[in-house]
Amino acid sequence: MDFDLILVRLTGRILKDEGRTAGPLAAPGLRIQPVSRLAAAFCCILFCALSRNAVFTGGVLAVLLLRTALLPEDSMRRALGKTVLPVLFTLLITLPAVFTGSPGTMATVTMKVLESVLVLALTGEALTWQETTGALRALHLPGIFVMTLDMTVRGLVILGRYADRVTEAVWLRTVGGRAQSSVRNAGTGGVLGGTFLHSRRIAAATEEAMECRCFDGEYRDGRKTRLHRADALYLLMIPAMAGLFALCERAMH
Amino acid sequence: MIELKDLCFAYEDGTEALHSVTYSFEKGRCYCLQGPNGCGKSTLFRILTGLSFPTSGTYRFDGREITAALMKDRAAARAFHRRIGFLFQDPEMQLFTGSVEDEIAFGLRQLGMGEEECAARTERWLSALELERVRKKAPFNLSGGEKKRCALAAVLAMEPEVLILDEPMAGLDEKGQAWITDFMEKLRSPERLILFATHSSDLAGKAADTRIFMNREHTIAAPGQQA
Repeated sequence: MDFDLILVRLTGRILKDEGRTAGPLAAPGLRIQPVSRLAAAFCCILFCALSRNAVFTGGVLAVLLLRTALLPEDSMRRALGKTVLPVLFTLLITLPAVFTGSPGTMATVTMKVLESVLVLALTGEALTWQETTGALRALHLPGIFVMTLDMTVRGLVILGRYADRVTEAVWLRTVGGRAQSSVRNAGTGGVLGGTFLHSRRIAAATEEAMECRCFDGEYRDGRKTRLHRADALYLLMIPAMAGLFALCERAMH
Repeated sequence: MIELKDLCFAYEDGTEALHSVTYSFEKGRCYCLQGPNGCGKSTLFRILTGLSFPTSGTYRFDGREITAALMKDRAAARAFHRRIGFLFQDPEMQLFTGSVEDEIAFGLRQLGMGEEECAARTERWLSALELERVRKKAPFNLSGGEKKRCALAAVLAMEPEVLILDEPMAGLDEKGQAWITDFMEKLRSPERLILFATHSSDLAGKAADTRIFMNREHTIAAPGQQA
C-alpha cells in the first residue's frame, strides 16, 4: 500500500469522525444544552488566553485533566490524542525561549495550548457536529453562516468517501508490487482532479436542491433554544472561572 | 396544468437532449416517463422544475410561461418552486443540512412557516416515511434507502401540487422498491399531479395512469411506438 492511499484513508477516517452523530458524553437525563457547553468552552479558552498567572492556568488544566480522566477509555484516548500534535508543535516553536533565559514562557504557552485544545476536544466528545452548529445558531451567529458550516462538513465527508473509493480503484489497478512513481503520480493527479470535478458537481446540485426548496439567498430560521436548570448549574462555571481569574490576576500585583 | 409545446433543449456544445416535445399533463393524474438511458428524461424533468430552460419552444405552468427571466424574480421563483416538488435521481446530492429533521424542515422554514407548524409537519413526515429512528442523524450517514426516504420527506413536507420523481427506484433493494411502489399509491390525490421516470415496468404498471415513452430521437414517441 503506498503513501497516497494511506493519506487519503487517513483523511477519510478523520472526516468520518467529523460526521459522527452521537457523542459518548451524550448521556440521557443529564442533558446540558449544547449552547451552554459551547459558551463555557469559549469562556474557558478566553480566560486561559488572557491569564498571566500560572496558578490559574495550572488550576484550569488540572480540572480539565480530571474531567478527561472521567471519560470512557475510547473518548479519553481520542481527546488526549488530539492534543499531542499541537503541544509538540508549540514545544518546538517555543524552544528558543529556554535558551534566551525564559523557560517559563515555554511552559505557560504550552499549557495554554494544551488547555485550549483539550477544551475543544472535550466539547467535541460531548457534542455532535449538528449540535455544535445548532449551538452556534443559538448564540445568534447568522443562520447562513451556520448552514454553510453544515454544508461544508457534508461536502468534506462526501468528497472524502469519493476520494477513498477512487484511490482504492487506482490502487487495485496498480497490481504487481509498487507502481512506478510516474504511474503513481498520474493516479494521484487523477484522484485530485476527479475529486475537484466531483466537488463542483456537488456544489451545483446542492444549489439546485436548495432552489427547489424555495431558498432564494436569504436563509430563514425561526428556531429558539430554551435553557433548563441543568444549564444554569453548568453555566455557574463561568462566574466561578471569572472569580478565580480575577483573584489570581489581583494576586500578581 | 403543464403544457409543453415544441420544446427543444441542446447543451452548450450543441448536443441535443430534447427534440420538439409536445405534451399536456393534467392535475390528479399519475404519469410515468420511460425510455432508454440518455433519451432526455432527466433533462425534461429539469426543465419542468425550472432548473434548466428550453432552447426553443414553450413550457407553460398553469397558463404562465416559465422562462429564465421569470425565475430570476425571487418571489415568482419561490411561488413556482413551492408548487413543484422534485426528487433527484441521486438523493445524496439533494440532502445538505446537518440532520434529517432539519432537512425536512428546511423548505418549510424558507416558506416562512411558524416553528410550531413546521415542527408538526416535520413530525408527520418523519412518521409517514419511517424516519423517526434516524431523525438526529446526518443525512450523509444514512443508508441508500433512508436517504431516498429522507429526500422524499423533505419534498413532500412542502405539500407540492406537482410531484416529479426522477427514478425513485434507483439504488434501492427489493424491499425498498416494494415500499416505494406502495407509497406511490398513497401519494395519489385528485389535487396532485405526479410524474415519475423509471426503468421498472412493475412500478410503471402499478402506479401510473399514463405511460409515456421517450425514444432515442429525444422526443415523446407516438402511441404504440417504444424506444
